[in-house]
Amino acid sequence: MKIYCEPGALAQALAQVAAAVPSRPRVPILSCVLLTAKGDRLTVSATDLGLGIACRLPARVEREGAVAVSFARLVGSMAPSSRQGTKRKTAQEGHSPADAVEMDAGSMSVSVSSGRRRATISGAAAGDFPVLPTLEHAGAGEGWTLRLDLPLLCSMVEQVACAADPRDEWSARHQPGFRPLYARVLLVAQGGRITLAARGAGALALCEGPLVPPWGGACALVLPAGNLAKIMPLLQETGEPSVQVALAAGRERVLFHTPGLDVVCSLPEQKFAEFGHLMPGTATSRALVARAPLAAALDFVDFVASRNGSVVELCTQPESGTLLVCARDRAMGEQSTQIGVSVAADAAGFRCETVSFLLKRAVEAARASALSLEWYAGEDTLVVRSHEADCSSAYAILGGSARAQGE
Amino acid sequence: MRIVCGRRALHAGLALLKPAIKETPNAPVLSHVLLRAEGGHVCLVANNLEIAIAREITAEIQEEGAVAVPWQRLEHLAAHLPGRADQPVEMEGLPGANTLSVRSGQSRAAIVGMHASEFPALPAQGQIAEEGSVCFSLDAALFASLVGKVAFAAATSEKRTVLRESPILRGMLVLVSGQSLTLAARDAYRLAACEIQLQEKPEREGAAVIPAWSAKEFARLLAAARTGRPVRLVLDEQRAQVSCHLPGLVLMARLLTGDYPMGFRQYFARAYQARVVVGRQAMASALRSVARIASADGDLVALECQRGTGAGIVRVGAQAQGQGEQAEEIDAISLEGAGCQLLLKLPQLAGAVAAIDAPHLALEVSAPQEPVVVRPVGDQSGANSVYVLVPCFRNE
Repeated sequence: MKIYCEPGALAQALAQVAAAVPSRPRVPILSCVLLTAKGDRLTVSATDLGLGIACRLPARVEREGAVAVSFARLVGSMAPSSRQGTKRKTAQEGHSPADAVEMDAGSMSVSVSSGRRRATISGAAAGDFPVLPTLEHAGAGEGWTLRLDLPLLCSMVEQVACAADPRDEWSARHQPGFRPLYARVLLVAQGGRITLAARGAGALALCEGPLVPPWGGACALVLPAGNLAKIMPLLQETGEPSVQVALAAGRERVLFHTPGLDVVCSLPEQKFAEFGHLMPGTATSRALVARAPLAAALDFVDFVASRNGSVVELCTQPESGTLLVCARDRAMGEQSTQIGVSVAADAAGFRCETVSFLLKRAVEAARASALSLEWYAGEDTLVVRSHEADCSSAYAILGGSARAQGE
Repeated sequence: MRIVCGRRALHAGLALLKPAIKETPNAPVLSHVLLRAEGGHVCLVANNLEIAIAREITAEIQEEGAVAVPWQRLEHLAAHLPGRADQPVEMEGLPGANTLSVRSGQSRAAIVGMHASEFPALPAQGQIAEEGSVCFSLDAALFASLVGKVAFAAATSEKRTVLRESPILRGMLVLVSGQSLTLAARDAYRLAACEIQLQEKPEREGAAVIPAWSAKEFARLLAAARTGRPVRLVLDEQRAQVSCHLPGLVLMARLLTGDYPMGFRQYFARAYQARVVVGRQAMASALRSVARIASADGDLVALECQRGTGAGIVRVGAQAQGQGEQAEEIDAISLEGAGCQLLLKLPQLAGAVAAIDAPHLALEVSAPQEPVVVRPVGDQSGANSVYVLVPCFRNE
């Protein structure tokens, strides 16, 4: 393999695939990236077996071929400040356009030169690298392909993934008491609607939006929340208006495809438990509050709340049109602030204790500038709702969470 | 005590005290900040018994008094108070309860603290005796820059056991001799020294060793203060303490005691057999590019200076068995004597290159086994700096 490519484009590709390079690989080949030169393109692929990313960039290919080389060494040979910058490096940093990268690969090593910089990197045979499915393979046979609005999907994932536990599969297996369900996001697409749901300890998040164009089929995917949170920023950075989602015939992996980037995500075996009954029925009281002041008020009381099991007290005062946000700790004292609120005319005010960090997550994840706080006294549950033009979300802090934290 | 101050001023004052707050204090009061309102001034004081900081803030004093409250709590409160940045904050120490009541806009807080008498005492600015001490003044930004050029070379406590380093090497030497001020720091394998002429000759000569960590914090705080005024340094050997004075700000630290090795002066002017001058940024970039592979094999970097096109070429390279090699060539600005080959520890060379505040640097070699001297070329600050590195050798 012998190619010439732009150093900036190569650095950007390496930054994109970095999310799939494990920091402690189970097998040595996983610490490598696969470089494949074919036609007028170079494809850089990386995988940790749970997540796979393949990035395509234009290149002048003199000799086609493929080789696997150490990701860390390749980044080191490319980027001047590689020690700090392996994960998220901007595309053009530190490179002059004139210094095209020349890669000349044998079967087990690559010689990289750019300007007056030379490096020889030991590699591995391309055949040892795990195969990542492409769109043609994934959609074939019993598989299916679905097109989704990419900005909407990213926004919806952001709004629900905050309820899921960010721990990865390894943590899930090795930490007692961990429920795998908490690290999953459910994606349901049917007819003209797409619904995302995530369940964490003490919280449930739902988000619903339109499916444009409508889809004749129906699907339900359970995706690992950690990987989803990694790949959404990558897909968003491509700037594409839509993404093709394809399920491989074996139903073990799902592919997110854009013209320059493919992301492959392994699907866990567990099913997503029924969650409809967890969302309470009729609200006892409802208050409309601006998002920014509520976030600031929660930040203000957070220090004291975090010392007392993250319990925060919310108290609406309909006569003064205010919401009191208060945290108390016997050793540290008390901290409180008031913000303006409008309480529904048909509802009395409410006073409740809830979990500060769960409420903060809900407020931070919401997109709308105004939020509806709904208190369900019977279920002891607080629901934060936000409505936007294209999607609506609900985040429920489930009954008994505050009591459990306080204990 | 009852005072009213601006939220921004309170937060800025508290943020400045952070280096003097212990996260895991031996005594709870060391994680507290003392609020003292007396004599028309409101002073915030933090003291962790190694370094102490006193900062005056603008405030309206309605009732004098003092109270100590947890720094972290008050700093978080000041940072996150909802409302405008210039909103007034009213603070009142509740008598007998050791509690500070804070009110600002629609927000309220009650902070449980400690009695002011439990806070370790700090001498007021006027009470620090300059008699019998070594005192001198120089521009605050210049002092901060000199510390930045030198203090990084001091030994760190983690290295001490493996490198037979004396605890005194964890400090930075401050030497006042005649009208010159010399700062020096070293560990077992490198040395950094810097000499400058003071504008006024100090009344007394002397030397003191400031812990390098404290010196770096002083430099950071003085650079952040940006007063444009000279800082007054008082080295009090009898009380083993150093203090820096700026209007509204006092920094104090303990001095290290012991004999500091003084043999570094020979390197300010030493004869050499070979001297190569290169661009500082080019060298820094080359070192960064080989850093990853060098770290895989003892952090060694090889420099090969030879005559070639122009004045000469310096080849910066590193290799690691089983991983390959990497090299970058940079143009020499001048090359005196025959070419040379050097093997140096990359972090030590990179540290010296990063500390140099000049467009070029010179590498001077006197003999193969002798230390390598690195000097800035074209330094505009008027300081005479030198960095000495011990070379390495491979077992063939």
